[in-house]
Amino acid sequence: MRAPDNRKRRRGFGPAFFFCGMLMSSACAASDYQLFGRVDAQIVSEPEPIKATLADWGNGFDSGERQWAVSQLEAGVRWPSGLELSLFSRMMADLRMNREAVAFYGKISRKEPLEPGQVVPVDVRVNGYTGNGARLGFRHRQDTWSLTGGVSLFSAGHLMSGGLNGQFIALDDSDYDFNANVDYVYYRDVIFKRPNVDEARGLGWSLDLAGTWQPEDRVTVALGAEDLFAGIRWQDVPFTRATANTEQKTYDDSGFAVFKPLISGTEGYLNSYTQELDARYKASVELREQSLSLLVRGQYQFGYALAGLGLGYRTDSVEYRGVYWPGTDSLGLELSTGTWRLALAADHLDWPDTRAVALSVSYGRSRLPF
Amino acid sequence: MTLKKTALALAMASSVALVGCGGGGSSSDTNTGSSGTDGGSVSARSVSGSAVKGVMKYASVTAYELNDAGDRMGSVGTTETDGSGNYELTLDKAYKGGLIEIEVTATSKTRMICDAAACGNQGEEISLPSGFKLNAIATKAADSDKVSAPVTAWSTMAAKRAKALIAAGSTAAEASRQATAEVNDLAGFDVSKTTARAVTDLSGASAEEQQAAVMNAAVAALVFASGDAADNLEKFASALDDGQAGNDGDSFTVAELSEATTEAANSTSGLDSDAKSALSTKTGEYDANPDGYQPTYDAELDVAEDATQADKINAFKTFVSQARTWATSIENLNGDELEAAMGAKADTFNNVLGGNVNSLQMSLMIAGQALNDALVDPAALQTAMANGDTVTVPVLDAGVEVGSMKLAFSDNAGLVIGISGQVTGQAAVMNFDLALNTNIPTSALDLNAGSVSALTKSTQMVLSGTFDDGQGTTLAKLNDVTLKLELSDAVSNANGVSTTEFNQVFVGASAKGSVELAAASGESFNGTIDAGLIRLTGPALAGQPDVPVSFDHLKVTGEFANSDGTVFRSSAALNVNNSAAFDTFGWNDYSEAGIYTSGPIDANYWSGLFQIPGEAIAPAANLEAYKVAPGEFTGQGSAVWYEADSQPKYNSRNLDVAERETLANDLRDSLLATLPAQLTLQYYDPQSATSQQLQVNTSDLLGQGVVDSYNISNDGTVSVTVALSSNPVPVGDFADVLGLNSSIGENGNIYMRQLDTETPVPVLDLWLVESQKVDPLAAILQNLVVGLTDAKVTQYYSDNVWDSHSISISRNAEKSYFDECVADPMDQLHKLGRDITVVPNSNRALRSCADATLSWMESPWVDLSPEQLSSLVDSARTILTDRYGQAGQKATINNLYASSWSGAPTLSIFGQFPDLETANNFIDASFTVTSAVNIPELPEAKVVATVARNTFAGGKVLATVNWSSGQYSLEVGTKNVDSLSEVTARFFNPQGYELTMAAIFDQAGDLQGLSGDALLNGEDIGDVTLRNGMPVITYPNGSTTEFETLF
Repeated sequence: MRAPDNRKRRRGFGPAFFFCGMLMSSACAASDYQLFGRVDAQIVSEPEPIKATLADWGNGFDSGERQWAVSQLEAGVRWPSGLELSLFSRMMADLRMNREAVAFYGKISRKEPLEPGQVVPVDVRVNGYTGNGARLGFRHRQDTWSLTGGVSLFSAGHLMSGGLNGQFIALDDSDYDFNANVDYVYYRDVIFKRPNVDEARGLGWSLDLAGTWQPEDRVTVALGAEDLFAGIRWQDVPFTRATANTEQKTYDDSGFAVFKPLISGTEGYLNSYTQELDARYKASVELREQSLSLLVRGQYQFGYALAGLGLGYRTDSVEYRGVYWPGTDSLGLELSTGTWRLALAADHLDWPDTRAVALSVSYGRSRLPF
Repeated sequence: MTLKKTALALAMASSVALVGCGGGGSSSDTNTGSSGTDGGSVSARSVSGSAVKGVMKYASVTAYELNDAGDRMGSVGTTETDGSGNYELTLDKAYKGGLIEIEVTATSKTRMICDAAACGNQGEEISLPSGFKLNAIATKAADSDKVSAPVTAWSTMAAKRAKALIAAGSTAAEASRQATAEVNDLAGFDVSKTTARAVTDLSGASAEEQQAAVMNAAVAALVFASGDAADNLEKFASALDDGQAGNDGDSFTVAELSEATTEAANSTSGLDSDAKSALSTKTGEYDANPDGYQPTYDAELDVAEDATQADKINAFKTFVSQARTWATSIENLNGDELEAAMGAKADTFNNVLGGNVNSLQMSLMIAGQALNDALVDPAALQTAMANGDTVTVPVLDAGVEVGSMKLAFSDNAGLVIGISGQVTGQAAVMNFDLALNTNIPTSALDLNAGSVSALTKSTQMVLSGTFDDGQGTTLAKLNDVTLKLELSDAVSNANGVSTTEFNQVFVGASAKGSVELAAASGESFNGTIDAGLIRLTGPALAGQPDVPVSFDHLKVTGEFANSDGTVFRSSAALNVNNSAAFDTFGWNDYSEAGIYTSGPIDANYWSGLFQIPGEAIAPAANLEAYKVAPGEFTGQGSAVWYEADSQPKYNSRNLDVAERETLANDLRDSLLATLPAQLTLQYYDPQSATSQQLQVNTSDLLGQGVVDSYNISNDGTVSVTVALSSNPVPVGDFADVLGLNSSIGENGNIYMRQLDTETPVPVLDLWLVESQKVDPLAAILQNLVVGLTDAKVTQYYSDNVWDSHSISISRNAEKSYFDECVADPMDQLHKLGRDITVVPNSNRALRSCADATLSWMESPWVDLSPEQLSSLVDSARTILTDRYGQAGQKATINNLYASSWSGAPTLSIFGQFPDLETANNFIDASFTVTSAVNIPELPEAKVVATVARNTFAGGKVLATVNWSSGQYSLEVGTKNVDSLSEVTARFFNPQGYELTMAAIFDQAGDLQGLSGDALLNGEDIGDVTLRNGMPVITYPNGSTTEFETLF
């Protein structure tokens, strides 16, 4: 039986009912205000396919240095004055690793021959949380441009922040040393399995800005920034600081060193902790020529920039877009009609091979999907 | 039954009952009185404990406070021990909070309860010499106003060692901690905390308290052995001043401490198996360090009394890290490395202990036989002693003569036997020259009954001497191996001490002494043996033994030399913890052993099964039953008998040398007289391809030849074969002739065969016509059956190659011949070539005569009915139960064989005994092995491992590794070895560090649960848990928790 103070927190159906109610009411919307909403989700796993990382993290590592997952569910109302009020639920998980460590860890997980003498630094950073809150915004429109800004406050949970720094040293083709320092805060100790952890709660804030500009009829430029000056202030935060080493090692039947470092550390609760959230930026330039359009997209988040190039085709009621993202080798498809927009992107059609996937559904919003 | 071999067998392994005088201290929680402190605060502070070197009653107790230099600053309280040896002392105002030295001094009214043979009888109160005092240094914990301070000889040793360390530069506190840790290591228990108990009163005592009591008793054997006890105690306590005990200059050797400990343990009743295992392990450690025991102390693990929690945690982490290194070092050794690490070769153990221990056993066997022979024929003994003669007797091994020995008897305050001789083993000859000195008075040897008429409380025999291989190499040397038979009281009976009388007083027996053994392959052993038997007070497992005796212990300690000259020291000890209660010999002999026994069965066992004629003689029936499934049998039976049916009956009798030589000459001479003087031999000459003739004188032909065979065929033809001497006839010209034929006319034919591979001498074959030629020969042969009515010799056969010479005797099967045989079976059976050892009028004589004179008949085999099978099984079960009690009742019966052939109807039983152990009655034993190991990470390491079986299905393994700078012990236990679902483990060292774990495994052997504690000087500073399959130690430290993975 799971201890009461260690039970998993799950979102209930309350926020969903609220969002659905807001959207349903749009069917009979009054003309003096406008409802809007969106569902955005993006998962990127460079070192290994998403399915593999969910099943057995790290076993398929070969290259890459980032894994992240971000999602947001938001619904709100916009008054004619441009004032916006919305409720949202969001989550973010950002794991960054240095590429050499990923490759080396993949080798030892698969028991591949190592390069004797190789020294591989290890730098792993993690940042994550979930939040439920409200956003107050304002949108101003002129003939050829619009500008939207907002401020959000939210209650946060599922804290995960910190890092691991150290190095691997290959002693021979099947043996290695490892030492590292771990310092992180968490809602659940995923590394050392600390039992009976009391989860911290936090209060978060963030700013967002978005704007569109149409310098001429054929050209549209859109910019957006989220989580500007964002952070979360946590109270009573579980933490662990530890060192890991392989001074005592065991070997499997083939003589390969088993990755089972000895760990020594301290765990407890911090009175408070401030988690800083990285800002995320998006940009788009679209050039139209009658029913066709040429797209250039860009985004920067979690310290990583992505650029995409695409084409669009517009009928009287529906606009289709396709965007290719070389950075993730993903192809995205967008469908827009009225104020609805649906977007889907992935790098593979086969789920076992998929390393990047994104979904966006929005209504009444002009923000860029991803 | 008078006591002869039984007593002798026991006497070959006697026991030494050594009573230890010891005790311990106990703490009292009583908080009485109050005293102010110099700081002005007021608190009640007291020191309590007990003074035990043997319980010291009414002794003076004084507490002194020590300064940092270890000097006494003055008395801070005095009191006196009570009638139980306990004391409680209130610290007075002068006490400033420093170390306290408690001194217990014997006064004129002090009495010590002796519990060692060295100081008197157990329980006896004795006075102590002036100056007899015990000390202890204690610390008052910061959070307690009480000081627990057992005061014993060991605490005295710790106090002295502390002062030596102070003198060498340590602070008083550091020195006290180090000294305590070192003495803990030496004594094997925490001398500063373990409640001291009298060895005679261990009811409710913990294993460590029992161990402490025994170790205190062991000191008595050293302190009270001889000389001034106070002076001896002072010397004992000073033994560790130089950091090593039992080395040069000390008042005792480590071997003496080991022996004292062993004897104290063996003589202490009420010890549980944990205590016995710990004591066995400790003596193993002593045995591994014969030149001096140097306790280890790791300053890195030193924790001051005022240490913070963080200090303790860090120290414990160091302990865990060291233990991890220790475990990993050993775990990583493969078999070859382990053997190399031990410096020992398996062959050395096998060759030295497996080979020459037989010569050791042989020497005991020979001594036993010598003593037995002396008692079996005491008259000859008396004569030999009077005349100084020697007696030569065979050496028997399992009834087989394997050599001979000369016995020389004398009386030197007891029977003395000089034994010399030679035995031939399976592969070699061994000469022996032994001397057996006993304290058995020759007057106690009954000259008429050949028995012992009196035994003292302690019968002692000392065996010395050598075994050699006949080429100058000593294979075994016994140096005063002492055999003792211990009785509760002397026993005597003019008619010989009966087994019953002996059993009433039997206490135990043991063998102890030093031996040197050498293997022919070059390995050798030089050390001591110690074996003991004890009176069995519990129920016998299978039947009632003649003498209620049980195996108690066996220990071999010494130095082994490999064939390459490298030397290692090792010891092995087997102790049965419940030897008195558990029938070890019964278990060894019968548990799961095969059964072959027999017993009487009802004479009607085959009633109605067979139709046997009324004139049948000596009828008998053979019934066989086989188990085909548990409880299910099948079987058949057949009857046999004899009849006088007038049919020919043949017997064969072997001839002795004289008979056959006479017979051969007589037959040849008769043949010469019968044959013509000259014989014309015909032969075929292949060169000329013509038939040739040769005239030969018969006398030349037969010469000195010997008649080899004589046979009368059914048609009356007589055939005779004569083996000729060399060149009886001039056949040189016919060397290539294969044979010579001669018709001897109506006399028959003669044929001479030449030498060939099958006939090493020339042979004449003669076929004679009986009617004309046999009579002379037949008459000669008939002389061999004179006295056998109507008997006729029909055949004579002689074969010198196989040394077989016999005649065949024929006559018909008639009742009168049978009666004639029964009337004089010895004579008649001899003449008929039958067993001549039969007793007249016995079943054997009857059956032998029937077999020799009558026709043997057998009925067809019939299947046995279920009722008949059940009856046989029931009879077998009754026999087994009567003979073996419950073991017989539970035994498995496999085959049965019932027969009256040999006389009284007998049922032979083949089966198997069950496992005679039960959950409530099983052998509780421990086996300790000691050896040095060479592991780079653990210099000069010595390992002592004790495997203890203390539950029906489970047990413990206690391994202690002691090396140049540390010592760790690991104890692993389980309640069920076959299903390791729950395992407990304990890492600990003498400095008070202890890591306990209880693990739970699933059926696949995967760890499912783990709990435990990290203990430092008894304080629980951490917990062992399992985190996601990972063993982790957590150490609470204020608002945070320190943690580390265990491995």
